[in-house]
Amino acid sequence: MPEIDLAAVTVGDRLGPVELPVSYTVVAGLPGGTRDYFPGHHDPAYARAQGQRDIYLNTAFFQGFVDRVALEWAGPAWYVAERGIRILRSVYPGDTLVGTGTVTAAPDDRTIELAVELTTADGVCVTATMRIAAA
Amino acid sequence: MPSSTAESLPDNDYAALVFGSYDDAVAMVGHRTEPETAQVPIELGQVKAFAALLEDPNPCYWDPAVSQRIWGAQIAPATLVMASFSPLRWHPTERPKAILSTLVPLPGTSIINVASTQRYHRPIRVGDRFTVTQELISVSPEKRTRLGAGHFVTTRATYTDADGDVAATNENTLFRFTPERADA
Repeated sequence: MPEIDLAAVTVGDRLGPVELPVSYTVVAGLPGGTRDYFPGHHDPAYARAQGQRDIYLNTAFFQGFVDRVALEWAGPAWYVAERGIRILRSVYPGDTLVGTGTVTAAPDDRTIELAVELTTADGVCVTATMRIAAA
Repeated sequence: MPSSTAESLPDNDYAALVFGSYDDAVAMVGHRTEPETAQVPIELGQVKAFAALLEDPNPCYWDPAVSQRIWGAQIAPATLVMASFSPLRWHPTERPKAILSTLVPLPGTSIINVASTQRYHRPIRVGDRFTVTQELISVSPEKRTRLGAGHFVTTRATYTDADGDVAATNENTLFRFTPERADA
């Protein structure tokens, strides 16, 4: 897994893309992977009654995937100190989720601030701002 | 002390919603829950299950020697702080405790999450077992989105560890709404 050279990190540096095909198996894996039994994520009738076209990914998945985009770029000696996400649209089986990001600030030698975006063919699904900190 | 019924979570009424008016909801702003300790600690099996679902190759989750070398501990994905409070679907004696946002009396029949901000004061570790208190921060007046009419409900959760130190906070906003249309 690559690791960044902090001396070379510059505002505007790009992260990703990190891609994950979202199959029914992935969405059906949410209770096992995230412990979440909210029916919108595994019961198609419930999801459609909410106005969703199918079962959809949950908040925990988005949070973990945003963290993956950041730390796959930074390396294993960094942790997520702060992360805010906004969910703009849902992600369904059959979508491919793509994560990209940008360095927005590098205020000291142990802190990097990032903006991360998750998109599918339908457009931007999640926007995130993050602060990662060094070990 | 009587033992609770060994109930499953109802499939389609998960975290059953409390109904009422917007004024009822506003009156509840500032309400804080009693501390609740997670049913399970952060465990290595859950770390791998979560990382596998995301296809996350971070060697800290897959090679204990790497995590120990870098962090002096087995660390876990930060999201598991919140996930450790998702109730088990069944327990022989305990009823699951409701998530505060679902207890806010409002007219909407459905919920969906829209925003979440977490702050982690330190890396999260396998073995951590958190206690959470939740507070109702705000309820918006009725808004209309493409999903339907409803209210935005914001809660803040504070997670303390076994030492009593605050390890993380979570400010979450969900949309409590009545679906305009069911998708065909």
